[in-house]
Amino acid sequence: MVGGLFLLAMIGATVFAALAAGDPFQPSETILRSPSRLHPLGTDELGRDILSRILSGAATTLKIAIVPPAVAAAVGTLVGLLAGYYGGLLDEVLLKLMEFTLVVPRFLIALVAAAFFGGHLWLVGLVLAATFWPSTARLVRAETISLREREFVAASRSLGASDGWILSRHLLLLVAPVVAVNSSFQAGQAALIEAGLAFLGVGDRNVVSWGAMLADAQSYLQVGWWTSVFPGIALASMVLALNLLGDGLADTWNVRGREAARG
Amino acid sequence: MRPDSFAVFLLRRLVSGIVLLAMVTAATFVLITAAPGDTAQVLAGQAGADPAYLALIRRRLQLDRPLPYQIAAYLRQSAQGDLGFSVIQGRPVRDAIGGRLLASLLLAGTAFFLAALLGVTLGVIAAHRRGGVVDAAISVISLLAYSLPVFWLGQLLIALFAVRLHWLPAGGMRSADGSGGFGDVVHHLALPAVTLSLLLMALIVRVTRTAMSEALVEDYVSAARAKGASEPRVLIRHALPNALRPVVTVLTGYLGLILTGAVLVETVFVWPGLGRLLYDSVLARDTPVLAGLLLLSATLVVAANILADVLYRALDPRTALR
Repeated sequence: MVGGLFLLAMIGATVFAALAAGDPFQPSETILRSPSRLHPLGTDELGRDILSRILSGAATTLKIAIVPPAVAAAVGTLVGLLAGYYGGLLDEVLLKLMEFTLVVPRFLIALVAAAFFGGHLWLVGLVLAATFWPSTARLVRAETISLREREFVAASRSLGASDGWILSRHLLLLVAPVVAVNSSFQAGQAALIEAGLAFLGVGDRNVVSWGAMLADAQSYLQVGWWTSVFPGIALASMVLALNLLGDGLADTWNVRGREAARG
Repeated sequence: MRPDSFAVFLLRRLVSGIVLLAMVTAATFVLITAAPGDTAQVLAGQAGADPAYLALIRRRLQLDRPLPYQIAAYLRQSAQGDLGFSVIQGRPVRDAIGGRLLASLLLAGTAFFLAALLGVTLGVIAAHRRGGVVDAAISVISLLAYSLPVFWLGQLLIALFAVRLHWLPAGGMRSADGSGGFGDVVHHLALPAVTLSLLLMALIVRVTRTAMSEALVEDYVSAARAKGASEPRVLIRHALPNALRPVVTVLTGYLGLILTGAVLVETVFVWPGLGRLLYDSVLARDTPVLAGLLLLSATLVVAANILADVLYRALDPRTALR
């Protein structure tokens, strides 16, 4: 649960930054200054305040870490429930689609899409959501198949419950833990992929990204360690927090963790 | 239902794999063609080139043909091993990829070996010391290794070992002074290989630990101990072989990903491999090379999945190869 607390702190800091911090794009004369009272985390090669940029970058990371996995969770749960419960054609199509999305690594799809269409944040988010949901659906499908033959489902049906009732009142709640654990790990992955794209220079240039900060820092490792160390710590702790959250949820609900959720 | 014989099983996997690859290729083409800008524009230079000139280039490269025609032609060619010609590099795609293959295999192979060796060792130790301080320490290490962005880790290693300590070179595969012997390459290989191996190592530690913990409470382990087998012998000869199956699944699952998955690591360390080639081709809109790399990557994933199934059967006496 440490992860969860840290995430809340991050969200708080982001809101605070939006209200109070300096302009993350404002260049100044004081370039590559080491941490001081005026610039607690130093300045970069254009004299921009690194702390302001990290806080502003947190918003970017949080958006990409929260929205695509949430969309994938919604779509994946719906499709997975239906495919697992009814089987048949939908199930067949889902399995083929799963196979298909697993064949080309997600990062490559995102890289090609971002480079060819311009790496707008929403586009990267779209690619992530589109490649995340099938794995969510697969997990939900497997859970649903093992649940649908249970006695409580038969009992509920014999009391006159409709399929819709069984799916929404019983099965949905029972697959929720698997989805939550999976989404946490996907969120960590999403943060890394966004940063990776920005690091390669194909990210969204209109927002501050920790990955882009690290790419800029690459040329100044010798003279300004702070340009690399602080954004890196921010990114690593964000991903760590999300993975800890996933591990914590998995332990709490006794869900098989990362190995099962990977993909 | 009688289980398929091994040959039928393998044939079925191969056929569905090939169908999948054809679909991936088609999808790649659709994606590349849908993007604004094309090879012709990159070749012609800045935007605003003479439309007639652009049309000429497109006709030469057959970019003016309908998409289904292009896809069919590409599939036919690549099935014969011809991946087309890169106008931007001025040589066949096969040569462009072939020229990078060795460097990639060296990096990926080393990273794989390191990850497997360290991952299994640490996983076995953690399971053996389950609940203790050593176990906790190994868990923390693997969680960190799983969460660190590889490109940042690469930067830190460069800053420490190359910039500050001058122990290892910051990038490239050979020294510029032409002393590129075996020792020189190993020198250059160390940092990128360690960086690339960490994520996979973290996964293997977790999988090994779980599988070993399950194996260690089995009856045959108690039996081996009762016979007086030493603890290392119990761990390595009795429990480990039974715990290896999930480890092999994870390893083979990554086999297909690691070549192109090295894009970030190869960029940080300026390693002349396929990942770097892929990145350069994306930026240069070198469509033939890009399509070739995506096809290669997908082929590796499909092949690795088939290999995983075969090994899975081979390692389980109940489904042993016949």
